[in-house]
Amino acid sequence: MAGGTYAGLRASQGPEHARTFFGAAERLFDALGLTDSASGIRHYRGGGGADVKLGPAEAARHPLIEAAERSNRALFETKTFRGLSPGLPGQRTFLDLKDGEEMALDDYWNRSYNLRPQDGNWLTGLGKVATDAWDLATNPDSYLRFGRFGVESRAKLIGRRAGNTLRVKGSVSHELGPNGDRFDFNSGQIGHPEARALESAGEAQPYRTTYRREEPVEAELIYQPGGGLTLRRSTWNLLR
Amino acid sequence: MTAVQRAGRRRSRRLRWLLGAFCILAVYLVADTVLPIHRYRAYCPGSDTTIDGPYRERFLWAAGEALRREGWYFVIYEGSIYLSGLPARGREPQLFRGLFDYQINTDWKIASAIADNVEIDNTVFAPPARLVQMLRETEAKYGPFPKRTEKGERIYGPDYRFYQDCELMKAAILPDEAFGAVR
Repeated sequence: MAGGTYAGLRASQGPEHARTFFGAAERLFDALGLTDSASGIRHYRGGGGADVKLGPAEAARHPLIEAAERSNRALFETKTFRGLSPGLPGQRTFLDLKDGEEMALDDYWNRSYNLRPQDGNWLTGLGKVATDAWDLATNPDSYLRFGRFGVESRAKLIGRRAGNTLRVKGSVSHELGPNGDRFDFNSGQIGHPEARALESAGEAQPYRTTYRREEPVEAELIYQPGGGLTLRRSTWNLLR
Repeated sequence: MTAVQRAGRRRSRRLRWLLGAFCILAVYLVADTVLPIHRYRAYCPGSDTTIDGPYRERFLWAAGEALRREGWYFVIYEGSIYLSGLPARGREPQLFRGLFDYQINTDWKIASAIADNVEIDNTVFAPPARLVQMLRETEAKYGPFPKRTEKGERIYGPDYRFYQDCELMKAAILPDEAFGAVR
């Protein structure tokens, strides 16, 4: 926003109002014990735009991140390992391996929160409101600290078939993605005009939060006589 | 007619109007929920935008297969997909938090798959020429995408460029070329 103006903003949305707004937000979050949300605003106002890197202990304070990792692990087990990741028929998957064969496979899954408004009907809209309300109520510090964000999990796998058993080995990396989470008050979010006013006055700068952790995975699946694969066991070894 | 009778008639008329309005609302909500009238818009995560159809036949085919597997109710009509408002009810566990969560993880993977040569029942489906050209230009600019292991095996899996680049995704899913070649 270097060189930006207050064009399109009302007088009440100038830097004075923005300072009051963000100051009140900080004090409110501190009072409610939402320490990460408060420190997020402090870094936005005084961090010079420097990236923030979350370590394992800090990431563990955000249940939404852990929930996203769990969800993505379930998607690897239910879809990737079983050859059911979306794509065209004809794409080679572990389902196509013959006895003694081996193949490499990459896949990606994403769990996002506080999504943009979606197409659909009244039920879709109600679902989004209910989901956002639930996330805010159960994880307010994460919800307010990260806003709209996603956790991306990328797997590099090797599958080897022996008889009717498939053994999968590889590693999965989980990170805020793509390319971290940007603290920047998107259009449509509360605080957007105030954020633009403060940035125009040179008193705030958006910044990126990154986090990454990697874990090896091993799984064993069984080829079913009628087709398909079922998961017998999986072992995820989280490295901290 | 007495005043009481007139009041009773007015109340009765209001109740009929309310009942009529309620019936219309109920019919609207049921139709909006059950009928497949909601147009599916492919989602490109890279720029947080949607891509409207009509779509290439291969995308319709794969997207339909993926929707069916998850248990969404839909019809395909004149190159577009129309969804019912009913939530998904498939045999697979419901791991997505609604349609949008599903789309974030699906549409770009199908687009990536369209970029590959695939053979189904002795028919080879070549990627669209325009898409091939765009991929060549991307590789010329940024270097080859690592699609091979050290042993030279081809890595199968979605090409992450389609997650980020909406122009690539459009070239994959919007109609442009003949559908394929028969060997």
